[in-house]
Amino acid sequence: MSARARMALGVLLIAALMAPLVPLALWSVARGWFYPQILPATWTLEPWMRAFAARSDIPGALMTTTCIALAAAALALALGIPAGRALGLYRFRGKALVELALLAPVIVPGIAVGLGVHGVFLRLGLTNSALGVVLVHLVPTLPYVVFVMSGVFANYDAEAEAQARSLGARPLQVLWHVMLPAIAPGVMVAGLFAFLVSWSQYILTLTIGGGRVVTLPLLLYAQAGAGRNDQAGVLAMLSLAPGLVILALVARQLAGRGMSIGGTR
Amino acid sequence: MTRLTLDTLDLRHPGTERPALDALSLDVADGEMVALLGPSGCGKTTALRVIAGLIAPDAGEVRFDGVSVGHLPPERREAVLVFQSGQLFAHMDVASNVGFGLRMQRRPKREIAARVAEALAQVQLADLGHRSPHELSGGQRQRVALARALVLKPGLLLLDEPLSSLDAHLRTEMRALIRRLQRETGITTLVVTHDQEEAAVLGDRVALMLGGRIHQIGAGAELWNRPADLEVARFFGGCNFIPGRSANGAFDCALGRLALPRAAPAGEGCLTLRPEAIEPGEGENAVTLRVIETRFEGLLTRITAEAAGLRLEALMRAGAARGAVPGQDVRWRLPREALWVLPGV
Repeated sequence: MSARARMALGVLLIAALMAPLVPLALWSVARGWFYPQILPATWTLEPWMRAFAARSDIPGALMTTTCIALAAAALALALGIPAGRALGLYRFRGKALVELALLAPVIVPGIAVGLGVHGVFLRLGLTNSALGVVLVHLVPTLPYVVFVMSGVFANYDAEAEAQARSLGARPLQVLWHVMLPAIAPGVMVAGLFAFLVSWSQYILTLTIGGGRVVTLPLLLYAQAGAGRNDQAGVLAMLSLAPGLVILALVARQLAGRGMSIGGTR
Repeated sequence: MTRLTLDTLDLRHPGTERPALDALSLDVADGEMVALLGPSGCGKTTALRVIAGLIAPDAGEVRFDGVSVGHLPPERREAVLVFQSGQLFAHMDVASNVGFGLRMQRRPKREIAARVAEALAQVQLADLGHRSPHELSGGQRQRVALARALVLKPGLLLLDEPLSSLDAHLRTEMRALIRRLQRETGITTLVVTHDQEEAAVLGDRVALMLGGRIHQIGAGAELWNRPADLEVARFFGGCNFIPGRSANGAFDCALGRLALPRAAPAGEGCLTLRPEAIEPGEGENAVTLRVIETRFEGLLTRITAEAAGLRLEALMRAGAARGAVPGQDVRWRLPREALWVLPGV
């Protein structure tokens, strides 16, 4: 394929992915946009002003979503790094079964998982709370982290840690000075993925949060359902933002270095 | 610096038949350099790891200066292990790698910088402090690994196959460097190798380890020429074993009565001599053999000859080997000093 054809194909692909977003972007800055107008008659920033007005629940939802996604990503990393290390470095009996069990939440529909977890969380008093939402977000985020990290650790030479110990490093120093720097790129990718997956959760947030924990996807569905296209447009743009930022941050890692994220070998 | 004692160490890796260490005992004197020689899988690397504290033995004790270190984690032992691969930390430059141990001890920055510079100068890499490990050649990486250990001024230095990843010409250079640094610093050193020549050059003494225990320890020449048992002789390429009986400084066997060197063990046993020790010609211990086969092996020619149902192999230089033609008889001299008796074999 010639360079020009490849370029054209790339542009086409980007256009196809971006096209559905264009009307949403336009709605967020339009006033009175009716068929058969191709572009809005009047341009305005009013939907944005309204979204961030004192009585709007969007700023609060933005804050809630960010905090929940950060907490879910941090927790997923805290649990997923050790799990990924075990899966990547060691061979043990029943490893395939563990991998399957970790993958299961990705295969099983979210609504089924959500309802099942709801019953358990109800008894534990975790429903209708942000903590419960953070915990239930581990269901879709943890598999991503574990699998990215097990790939990283498959390329990681644990002998470096033995060498560090012999050179006088205590176990925590080994963790901080040897292991973390070696796996840092992988941790970043896994963390960002976990953040994004949590950020765009709808079903699980709704089931466990019970409408008390209001995140951006919840508002987006509500506004879109109510036909408030201007607010839906603003919310869609807000929901999109971290994804774009993160994509820009990790694009080099994903494209340039291929699948070898981190590792020392 | 530190005297190392290994006292009947036992270790069996889970799920394996043979023990990795089998009642392993060894003494390394203060300031001595001992080469731990053995084929791959004989447990020599395992022994280093046990000394470094990375693996706990099932039984037995490791003592530094007579004091057991069994309860100490690796970072608190006076020993530093240099891994076979060098194990430089890829995310640090050379100077940070060398300074790693000192940083872990939270030494002042200025002291670290000075000692790192000194250590890099010792291994002749003074200008490469800012390089990243992947910009270094194999030999340079190995020298950085060495500097990283030396900078800590350890009581005991453990080197795991330090030359195995290097080209032949680099090996000679690196060997000399290790030898010189060890002499200069006087650090007690245990170096593991599978290479006989390397062991002989590096070690004040050579300890031959087979099947998890030390079979013989002594000066290199002693192991070559005065093997303690059949396995030691075989390891060093011994191929001539003549059954018979040793008594009063002579050995009676199918080839006749052969004069033995002083202090040769007495009794039933096996006479052994190295193939390259055999000389063509007349003299003491001369025997007649029929040549069966000659094989050109580069510098030397391997000649197989037979007499009275016994086979002997000799390695000779081209000139000496010229007289040997398959099917004809030769006179070979088995020099008295090259003979040795393995008792009870």
